[in-house]
Amino acid sequence: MSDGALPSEADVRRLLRTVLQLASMEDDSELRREHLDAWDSLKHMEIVFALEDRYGVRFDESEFSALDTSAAITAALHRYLAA
Amino acid sequence: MQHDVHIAGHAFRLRPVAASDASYLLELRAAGGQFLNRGASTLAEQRAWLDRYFVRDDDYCFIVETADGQRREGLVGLYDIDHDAKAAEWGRWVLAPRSNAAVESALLVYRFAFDMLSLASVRCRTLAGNAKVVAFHDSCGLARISASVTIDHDGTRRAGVEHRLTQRQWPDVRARLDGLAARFAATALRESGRRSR
Repeated sequence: MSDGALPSEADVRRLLRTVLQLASMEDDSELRREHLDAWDSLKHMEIVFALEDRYGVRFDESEFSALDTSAAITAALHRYLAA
Repeated sequence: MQHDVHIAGHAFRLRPVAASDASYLLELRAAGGQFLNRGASTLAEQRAWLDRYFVRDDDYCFIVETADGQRREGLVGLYDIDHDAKAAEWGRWVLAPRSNAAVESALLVYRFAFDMLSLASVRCRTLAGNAKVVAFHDSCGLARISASVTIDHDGTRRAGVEHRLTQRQWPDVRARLDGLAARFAATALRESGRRSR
């Protein structure tokens, strides 16, 4: 990240909405893969790679499937970026 | 059918289903969820299914496994091959929970259909309620056919969605899937290298 700040869950939700092409209305609810048909297996990879590119992190293959909610993604990013 | 087709990808590969996969297939399907046909519920039934499959022509079932052959990830098939129309259907697609093989296993089946069998088109039929898989085919860039389809699911006709990919559309889909599969493989390789150090 250019300013060094940790991403908020709202930042993550914005990225998810962009990749999943969801309506851009702002709302504060957590985004969960299980509730979003559009969050399929291909989109999941696109999301993980978009996160890696945006935040300069590299996730482990073994944790891909756990990145399935905006909250879990935010927590994982904080873990990587704070390390 | 008994075949000897092996297809290597970036992080995953396809190999022929063997009789020794029977217990694995039973476990895989048991964890497969509500959209699978009931199918075999005992090892004897699964073995009998495989015996019938081995003598069926134009029916290719593959085990999806990691590129090093160390871990099975699921099952996929290409069948109902119409040699006159140069068309077939793919399906029987069941992946282990939390598997990352969806994109590449689809890519490998398409490579088999278009690059090895030189088919003109491949279709896949998905229960309409299986929204994640319907969305996956949409995301891959496959076209939905406009006609409504019904799918036999344990003896009941249920609404389905049919996608079709043609040889003409294949290069674009291949590029999309291959790019993701290659990047995923780099991730898996990096992790494997870290573990071995």
